[in-house]
Amino acid sequence: MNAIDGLMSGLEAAFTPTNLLWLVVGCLLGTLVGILPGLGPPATIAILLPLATGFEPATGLIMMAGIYYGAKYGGSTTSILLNIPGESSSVVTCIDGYEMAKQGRAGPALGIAAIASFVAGTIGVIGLTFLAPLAADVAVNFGPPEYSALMLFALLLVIMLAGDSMLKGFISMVIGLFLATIGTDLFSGEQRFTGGQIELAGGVEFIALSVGIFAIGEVLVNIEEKTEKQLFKVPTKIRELLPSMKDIKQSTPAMLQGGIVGFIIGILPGAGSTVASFVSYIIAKKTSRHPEEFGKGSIEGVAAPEAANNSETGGAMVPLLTMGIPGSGTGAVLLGALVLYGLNPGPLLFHEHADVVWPIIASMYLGNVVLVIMNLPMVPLFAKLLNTPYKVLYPAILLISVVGVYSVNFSMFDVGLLAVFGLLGYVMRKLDIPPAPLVLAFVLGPIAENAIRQSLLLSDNSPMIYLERPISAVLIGLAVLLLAVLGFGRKTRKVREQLVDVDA
Amino acid sequence: MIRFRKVLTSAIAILALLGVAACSGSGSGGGKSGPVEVVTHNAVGGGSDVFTRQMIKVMYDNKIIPTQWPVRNVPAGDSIGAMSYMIDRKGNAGLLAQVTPTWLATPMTVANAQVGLDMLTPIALVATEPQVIVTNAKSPFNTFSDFVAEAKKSPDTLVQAGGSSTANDALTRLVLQDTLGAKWKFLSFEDTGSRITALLRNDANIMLGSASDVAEQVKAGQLKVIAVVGDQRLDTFPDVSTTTEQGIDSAKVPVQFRAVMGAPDMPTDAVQGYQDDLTKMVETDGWKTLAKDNGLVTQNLQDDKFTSYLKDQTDIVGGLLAGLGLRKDQ
Repeated sequence: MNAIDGLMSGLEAAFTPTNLLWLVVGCLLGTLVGILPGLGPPATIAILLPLATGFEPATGLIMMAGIYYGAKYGGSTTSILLNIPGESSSVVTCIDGYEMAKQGRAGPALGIAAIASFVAGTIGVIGLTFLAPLAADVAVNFGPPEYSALMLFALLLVIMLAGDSMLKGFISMVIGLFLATIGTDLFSGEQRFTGGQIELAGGVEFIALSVGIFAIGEVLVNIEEKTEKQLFKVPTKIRELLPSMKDIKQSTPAMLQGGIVGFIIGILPGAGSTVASFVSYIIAKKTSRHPEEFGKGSIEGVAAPEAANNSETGGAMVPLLTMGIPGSGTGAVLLGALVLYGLNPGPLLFHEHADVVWPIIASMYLGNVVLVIMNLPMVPLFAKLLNTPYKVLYPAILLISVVGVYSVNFSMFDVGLLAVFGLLGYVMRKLDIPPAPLVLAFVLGPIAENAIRQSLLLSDNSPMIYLERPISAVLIGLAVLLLAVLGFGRKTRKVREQLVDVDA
Repeated sequence: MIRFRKVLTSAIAILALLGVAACSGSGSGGGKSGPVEVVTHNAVGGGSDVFTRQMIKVMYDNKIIPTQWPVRNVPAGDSIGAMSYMIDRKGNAGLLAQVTPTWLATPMTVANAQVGLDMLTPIALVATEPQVIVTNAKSPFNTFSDFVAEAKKSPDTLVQAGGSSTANDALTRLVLQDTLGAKWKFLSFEDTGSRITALLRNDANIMLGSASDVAEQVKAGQLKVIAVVGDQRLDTFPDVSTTTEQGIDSAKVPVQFRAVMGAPDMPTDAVQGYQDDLTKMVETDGWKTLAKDNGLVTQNLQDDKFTSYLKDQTDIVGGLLAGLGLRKDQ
């Protein structure tokens, strides 16, 4: 069956009242759990599994996929409003999203996040529809040396996120890499830096780390300043609560670019939406006409990562549906659901169960439409929430953070970690060390470490393996180029900034 | 101003309610959905989690149990968390766990674990899951003996893709290298998917795993099975010979098993009830299909047979971990 026929038959099958109903339910649930940090799509799908296994396979999977990508629409909400990244892919959205909220542009930020999600989500599904077999080949050929090179490239990009001081970005990254080593070493089985704590054997919980450093750190700094003034300006006119045509026009290149980058990186199992979101952010910054706005509330800085995050869904479905290999936590749950339906995910899934696979793909087009219709009207409502005095807002942030972190593993130890990382976040803000490199390095560290050690084991410790394989050689070349640009580009920018100062 | 405050307050209330609803959903499980709860150390979608749900479904479909027992996922500490959960609920007649060799090995690698499989109540060892050895379909190796011969010729060049160094496939390699006098490399990957792509890319030569891990790739002609570890052929791959048939001694290899155990001090009548349920289950057609699809060998060992099997496995795994210097419980 070719892609067009498959898609048409899939659309026909998805367009039944039952399927549409559960699609809407899935999207709604996804949006809600996306807004809440902690309770993510895997837990939600798990709760619904006993119910869903009673459905027809296509219906159940349409709903579960809806939860998966619906959560990504909701994920940006707390990042923008409260500086709470609910998942690793929302970390980058915090940078410019929260800045926009502080400037009274929470509405446009939330609005552009929804629109970018829709545009790029659709790009991702188009990729899944037409490029799946090709993309699967790419995924198979990405081995340890290729991942090592990609991670080297990515970690360099992380330092670039740092803003003004590369040294501070580097410090932040090194702390993140260190925190990532805590836990049981995959290769030797040894416990590293756990201090004998069983709770740390599986590593530091990501949600406790990111929410602590971003949200709690921010609250602590603001409490200390004892500011009585309104933190956020909230416009009263409804028109100012949504992105203007100018905003949309300015963000269009970022959305399209994010859509393509997100799909390509999404194909690679393990790399996922986190890498996609900040690679896209950096590209947007480098190609923007207003790079100086990035980090200070740039709307493109919200559009690009949110776009990449959502088109990643389409990419991540490629290895899942073509090879039975899940690329993420949610992918693993969907894989489990396929097995429970007796569908045996693997290379033959597309051939043997086209009647299930194509309706799922088709439903993803519909789901993106449902989600943008569902999310845009909520934007003014959410944006107005910020019109709350800090006496109410701060306890609310603390409450949401604690509940969110606790609900990941139902562990009080994680709540303790939240407090520790909150203090770390506070200290870093005081020293003006950017938190984003730390959090991203924490996500990338284990992938980098495993890939580098696997490569060296394969080559008997010869680093030549990175240059012998074409994909990794190209990526290393790009990284070297980037390093050169990084050194040179900074000097020119400093000069430019000084000129601006003189003008002012 | 007041209006916005109200909006915020109600929004927080809704969020909090959602959180509570979610906790109780994945949590206690008792009440309406039935008094029994089954613990697994996997997150949702993991091998043990899926098997547990499949087993419950077979029992429910065959009316052996009146309701679908809820599954509780306690992934913390790779079985330590799940075991602590069981041990904290001593004497509970409705608390079961689906246990795998990880439950046996992990506590041995942690100092002061304060939990152990011997603290739980044995119910039944439902099945064993013999490992199969697979290669790329185009690989020159057609039996495991071929691979061993090559490994002897050029030591430490061939590569086995696998999990962590304490996982069953890694420990099996140690035993086989010892008994065969051959050496090959071991490449750790976090998940089964990456192990399979390593074979497809020819980064690795073999992989050991359960039949269900690779059945689809074998069917699609991408991978081939060159041996079943042990002395029993599998219904899933009836034409594949065992390592014993290929003249390789694998008696000392740790075996992947799937057992059901209860909370400590579970009342004997409850234990008897579950044993009866499981005995009925392994006779159903649903179970037989499940066993065939997953490459399981039905055992249904109960009472003394189960405990002595467990003791043998404890000795094998304990010895291997001690050899690696990972034993921390002594």
